[in-house]
Amino acid sequence: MQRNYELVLLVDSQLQEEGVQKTVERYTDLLSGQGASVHRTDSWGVRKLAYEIRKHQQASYSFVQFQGEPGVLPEVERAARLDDSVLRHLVVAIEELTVDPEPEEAAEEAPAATDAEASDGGEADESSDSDDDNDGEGGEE
Amino acid sequence: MNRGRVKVCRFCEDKALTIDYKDERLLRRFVTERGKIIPRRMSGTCARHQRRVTAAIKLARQIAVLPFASDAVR
Repeated sequence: MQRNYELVLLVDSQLQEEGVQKTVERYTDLLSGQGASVHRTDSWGVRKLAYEIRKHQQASYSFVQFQGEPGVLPEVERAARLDDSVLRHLVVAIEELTVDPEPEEAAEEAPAATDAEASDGGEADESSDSDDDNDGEGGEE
Repeated sequence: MNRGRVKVCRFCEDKALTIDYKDERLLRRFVTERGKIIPRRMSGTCARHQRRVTAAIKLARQIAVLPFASDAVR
């Protein structure tokens, strides 16, 4: 049975944006080569790590949502583990793939929903939403 | 710790609030400064949601979104 997964890759930020993209592409290619369908990829860009990983203080975060047989996971895991440019990886099963509003529709229908500077889809990150409206209360962070 | 007052589970209160391991801002409120998970009796979270919060925090730790332990005061 096909299931939905999300692959998180922390890529060495010393590779620069281009190298990071290439690295992530290797995984999307690997996935499609294994018969999984890549649904969407998302990126947080370079972010500070909560703790050091192999002497790195920061890494580039990427998220790949895909649908496929559980059998593809060992392949991905192995590749990620052997890959020196991937500092850390994580695969989680998710219930639903994130549905992106169609770009044209989004422009008309949801201008108020997100920040105005999310100009036109692209990589403007909208997946880490959920918080924005909810946190007026608990003072501390 | 002004946690003693929180009576109702935030996630039961607000059905739209989802628990996501990528949501650092939300999860930060369920760990102490040192990074320990805040117990249910202090956060007021119900059993069901506390389990989910806990699982999310543990995933977040794996990808260095949250610390396992930290002595840095944030």
